[in-house]
Amino acid sequence: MLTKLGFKVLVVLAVTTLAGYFGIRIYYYFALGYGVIDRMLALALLAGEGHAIQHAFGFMLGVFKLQLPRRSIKKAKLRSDRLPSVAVLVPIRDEPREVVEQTLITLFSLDYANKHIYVLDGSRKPVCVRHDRFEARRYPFSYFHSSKPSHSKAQTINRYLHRFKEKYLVIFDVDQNPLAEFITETVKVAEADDNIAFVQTPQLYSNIDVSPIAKGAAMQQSIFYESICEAKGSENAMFCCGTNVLIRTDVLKEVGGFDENSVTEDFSTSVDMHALGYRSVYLSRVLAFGLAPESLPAYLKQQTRWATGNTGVLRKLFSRLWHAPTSLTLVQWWEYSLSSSYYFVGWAFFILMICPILFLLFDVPSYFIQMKIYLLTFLPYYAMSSMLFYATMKKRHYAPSSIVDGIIMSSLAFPVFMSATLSGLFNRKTDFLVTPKGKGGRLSFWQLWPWNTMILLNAIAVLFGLFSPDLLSYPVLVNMLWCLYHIIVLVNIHRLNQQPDFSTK
Amino acid sequence: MHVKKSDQLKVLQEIENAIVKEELAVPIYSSHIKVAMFWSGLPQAKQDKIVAGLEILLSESINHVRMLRRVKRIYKRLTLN
Repeated sequence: MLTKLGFKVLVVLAVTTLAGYFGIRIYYYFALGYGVIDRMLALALLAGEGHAIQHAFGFMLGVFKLQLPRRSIKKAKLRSDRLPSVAVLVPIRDEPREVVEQTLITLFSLDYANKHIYVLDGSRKPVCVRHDRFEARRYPFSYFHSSKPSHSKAQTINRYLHRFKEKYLVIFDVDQNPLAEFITETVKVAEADDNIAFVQTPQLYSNIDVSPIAKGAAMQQSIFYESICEAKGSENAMFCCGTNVLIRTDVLKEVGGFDENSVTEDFSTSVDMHALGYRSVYLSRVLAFGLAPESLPAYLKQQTRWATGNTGVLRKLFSRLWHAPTSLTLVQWWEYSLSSSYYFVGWAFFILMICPILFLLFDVPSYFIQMKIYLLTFLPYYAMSSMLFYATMKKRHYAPSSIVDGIIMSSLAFPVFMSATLSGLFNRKTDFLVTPKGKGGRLSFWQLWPWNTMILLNAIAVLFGLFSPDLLSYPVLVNMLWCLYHIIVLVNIHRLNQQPDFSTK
Repeated sequence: MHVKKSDQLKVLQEIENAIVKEELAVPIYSSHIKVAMFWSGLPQAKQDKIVAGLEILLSESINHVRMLRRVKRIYKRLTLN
């Protein structure tokens, strides 16, 4: 396993090779003479690569930060006779009865005397409402339900925000089962500094044995919380993830409640809290177990919401940058720009897929570089960044085989990312989509048309390459290899599109 | 036994809470922990050993529920009658 120094050296090497590769790519884009169409396509490819490189650089910076000495998180001592009051909120909306019931049981087991549990029901379906009422009455909780169904979690919480007189709010999604010490541990952190707006803790999905989708989604969450969030937290740039979080009630009221214009209200509201000068803390300790999306439709639904919401916040960030550029620190701007632009990865993947196809089918070049230079710059960059990523994962005891599905799923979500980023960017209205739990479901062969089309196009491109008179030339071979790689990634959609096996739970 | 009525109810509520925790919450947490062992990075043999230990605790929990129910019945008989 690498030492801290080893990690630092690896990061420096990875950043150097990354800069070298991208610098050469930009140089060749301007240096070589090509036609207008070629140049436009090449620019799109350069932008796609630029996006991937920006995020790779963000990850590398984060890994480097985590090797530096950090101040430990301050915790206040709590007196049992003077515990600050806490409102535990569980917004529910049409979730299955058994999931709601399980969460209520764990909330009942929270080991903190000065708390009150509020079940905020924003359900639309009367059947679900009746079940929820029954559950809420079985245990000593307050149950709020309006005859008007709410359109989002933000609206459900904001509707009752004025009623909460408690000092802190703790929010749990209905699929999260907190451990008994959740409130005590987070309150200790918040009590250490009045300027802390919220304390975010990780999500850990424990239904990984239900389906490969659940395991892949869990892996993605682990990479996010254990590497990315830790780095964000060390720079006061951690954003609220909407669940497993403790929020100072006054601060949430001060920003006017959760942002109802965003489907990722937590992310958007974090910007407002940071802009007011409040701090956020990321407490890297698992204090709750949760459920991952179990099926492909559920996963894509979740990703659609996150992609739409986070990209939508990009507009808010642009506006804030224009009107109040000093409202966030430089690091916060950088981190928020990374998080809100991440989902353009769908476009990047699509462009990276389409360029080799266009080259092999129509002889349209988009990658202006000499082969030797390509091998000398791309391979070191690819090798270093992969080594850094896998070394980081190995430090967390993750085998490469466990991580692969998570990475493949990020690429496979490209059609929903492409559509959702457009919705977010152009403010197309989308309803708040609850990720279905315990339901299963598959997409039909025809619903998989974006993936099937790309598999077919890649296969045709490979066949064209095979019958090309320039088969043995480097450009044809390299582009064929990329097409084969994309086919291998894409066919996984059929493996992942399977019914979850709930009998394991 | 001379105990105030409100205190008697408080004690009964505490016993009831303990029963709910043992009977309903413990199985939920142990099902999470069994699967979450995957994240521990421990060798499979150690993971299996921990899961076996959890199974013992789980069966103990059932005994706890029985005992707590008995305590509740006895306490009710002694105080509320």
